[in-house]
Amino acid sequence: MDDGKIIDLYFQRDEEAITQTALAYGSRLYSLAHRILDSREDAEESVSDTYLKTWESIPPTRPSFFYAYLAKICRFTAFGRLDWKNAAKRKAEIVELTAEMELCIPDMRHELQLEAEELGRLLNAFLASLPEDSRRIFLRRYWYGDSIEEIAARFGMGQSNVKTRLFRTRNALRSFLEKEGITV
Amino acid sequence: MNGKEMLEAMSFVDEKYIMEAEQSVSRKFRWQPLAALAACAAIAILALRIYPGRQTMTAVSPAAMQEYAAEIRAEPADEDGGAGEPMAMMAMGFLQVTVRIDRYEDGDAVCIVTDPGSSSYAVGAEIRIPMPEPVSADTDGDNTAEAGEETAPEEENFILFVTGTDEDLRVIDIVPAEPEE
Repeated sequence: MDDGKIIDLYFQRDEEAITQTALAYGSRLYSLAHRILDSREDAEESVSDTYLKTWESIPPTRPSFFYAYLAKICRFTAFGRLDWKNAAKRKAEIVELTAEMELCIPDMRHELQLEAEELGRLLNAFLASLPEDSRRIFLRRYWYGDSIEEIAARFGMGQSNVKTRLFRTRNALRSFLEKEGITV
Repeated sequence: MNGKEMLEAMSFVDEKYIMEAEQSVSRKFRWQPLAALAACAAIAILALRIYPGRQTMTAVSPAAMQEYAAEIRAEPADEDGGAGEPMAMMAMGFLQVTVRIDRYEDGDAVCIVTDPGSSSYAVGAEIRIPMPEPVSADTDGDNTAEAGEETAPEEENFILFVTGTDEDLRVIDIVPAEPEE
């Protein structure tokens, strides 16, 4: 069933909508949540919560990109469940991603209170300025949480090339945030 | 702001970028592998032309060959006393092999390689050329021996110009070799 028909089911308040959503995107949502949480139970609960929140938000929302809409909810939910201390103890992939993201922050000596939503707006402006390939690689790493090896396979390039592209993009983000006055 | 917040803020990224990253990769056209493949193919074809590697020849038009051989012999020798235009044929990229016609057998001239020239044939290798009527330098002045002659021809060397591949080797030209001093 295509996305439009599934969304129509939500609008009709037909519970078949959730079944069809799970059939179409369940495994991808689980994979996304599991990358963040590194726990089967937590990932499954995140996906269930995603279905519930989707049911509650459609209608009135009619998503343009249904999977992206679901994945965004799933990502929010998974981060809400994430126990950072335990993740650090397990040396989960998410900790490595966090460390890499810290390299994008202009000045770590000072705490800057910035609303996540405002930071998201800046990130969107930054992503718009990137070449498509670099943007895709950046999102695969820091949005989807893909490993370097997976990104290299997906884009048909070497792992060192992927690392170089990510390094340059992180530096570019750091410069971008500096220009936007994110230094203190 | 710290790395956690940065990573969480990524959740606010526009859905169009999320979909863009999710979709399969549209690979840019890369001409380098195709160019390399074309170069390899060209080298392989050239190698097959230079080293045919077969000891038999086929696809000869006997009539045309005899006619051309007669024409060549009818032409006056060049300044060096050579026969016709072998250098021109070599320049066109054809392989040259000198043979002696050993016998006529089942409509073929069975030739023995006396000088491999630019080909990869070994001296003494046998080449069969379909040729119902023997080509031979004249004893009677008409440039050909009598039709149907089955006896061994006179000792005379011919230069064959050949091209093609193992499967499709062609005799392009045949001219009498210059007699040795």
